[in-house]
Amino acid sequence: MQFSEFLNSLFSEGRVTVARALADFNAADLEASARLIAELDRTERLEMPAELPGLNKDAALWAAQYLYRSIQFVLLRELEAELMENYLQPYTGTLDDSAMWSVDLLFRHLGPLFKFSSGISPDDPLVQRLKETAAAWPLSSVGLNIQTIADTQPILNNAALKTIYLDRIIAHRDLTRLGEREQVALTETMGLYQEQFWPGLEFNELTKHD
Amino acid sequence: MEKILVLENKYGDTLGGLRGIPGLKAATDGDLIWLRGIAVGGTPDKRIASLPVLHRYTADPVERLFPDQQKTPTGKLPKLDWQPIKAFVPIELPVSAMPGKLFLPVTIRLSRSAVVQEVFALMTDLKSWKAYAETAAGTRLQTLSFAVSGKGEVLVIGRPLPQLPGKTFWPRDQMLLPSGYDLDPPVLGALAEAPKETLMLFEPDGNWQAIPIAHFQPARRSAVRLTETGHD
Repeated sequence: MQFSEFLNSLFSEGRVTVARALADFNAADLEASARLIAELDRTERLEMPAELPGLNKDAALWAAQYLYRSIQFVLLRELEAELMENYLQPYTGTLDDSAMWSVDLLFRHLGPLFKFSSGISPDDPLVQRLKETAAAWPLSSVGLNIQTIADTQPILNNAALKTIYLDRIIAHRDLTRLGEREQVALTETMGLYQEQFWPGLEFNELTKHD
Repeated sequence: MEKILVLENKYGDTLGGLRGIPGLKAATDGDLIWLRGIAVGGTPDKRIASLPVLHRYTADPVERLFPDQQKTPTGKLPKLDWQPIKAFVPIELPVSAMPGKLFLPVTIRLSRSAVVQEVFALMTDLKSWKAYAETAAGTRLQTLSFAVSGKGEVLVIGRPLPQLPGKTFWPRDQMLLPSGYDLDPPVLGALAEAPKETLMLFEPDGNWQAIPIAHFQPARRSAVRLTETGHD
């Protein structure tokens, strides 16, 4: 039950332990992990805006395994880079609002993972792969100084996800995420209090980043 | 035989110095104070001799009253509620003159203010507050705190406040004054002493209530959603 224990420790303490080998997870372990993710989803919703999309268990479980394997590759440097093709595969499901939210339950920990892997060369295949993954999940990679390559429409078209996204952009002062729609939404959120929430922000300059 | 003295009531304070005279009794009769129990003959007591007496009598054993130097009685000693002088003039603890504070109650009034301030508090209803928290940005919520009354009234404090129906207030030290009003005169703000760790919420008519600061909690979405009152 190494995988579910990993998730349980991550959700409850913010600390994780991974196995020293790339062993597959058994069905019972995956089932227990799915239950933990569902429980986390229920808890998180209490703090989130209304109209949040439903939980996509497959997407969340994929993200959880991706996170687990990434940590293994960061720690077990003796592993061959070719193994990443099998263990760090991209998400193949639909990139809708439900997937964005469900993956974010796990990928909100990408920031600490990036810090954790800061000792590795920027050209390392693992670092490159992690950056590509972060760029594909814009909701979870705010503040990581990564230009997103994904379509943000599923986020901006859902009222709850848009609110969460903007809150993170403001909290991280992430100028790289301010496209035209984000600027409009940001203006609505901050109103006349832009100087209080984001001192010094000049929208005219933001167009340079688009 | 005994001496009977009659004083006007307004000189009652002068009797304080007579507490040490044994047998002396006093009674009130309308605007007059009667004294009895003063022996006839002997050296007059200086404290009694100095009283601002209105009438002096001598009473015989059957309580007929003979005015001083007169041999014909002019009346009888009235039936009064005679009390020992110690009970008639009870001892009061002295009031310290220095140091100390003299508290004079002042009615606080509010009047329209010419100075415009930014509002800091909003009194709204729980339904509106909950509806706002459902969709509001966390960025806006994190600057706010709220307290709820048993009647379902919600006092939200912080800046910027949400645009919700209700009454707004602006701050003055620990006081929350209705928007558009100030203390009359404004100098009262510097004199008023609010209870510690409380906010004094004023109505335009000057009525106020003290709300402990401990009753406010950060406006987390979960906290708002889980807030219940008997009126929910």
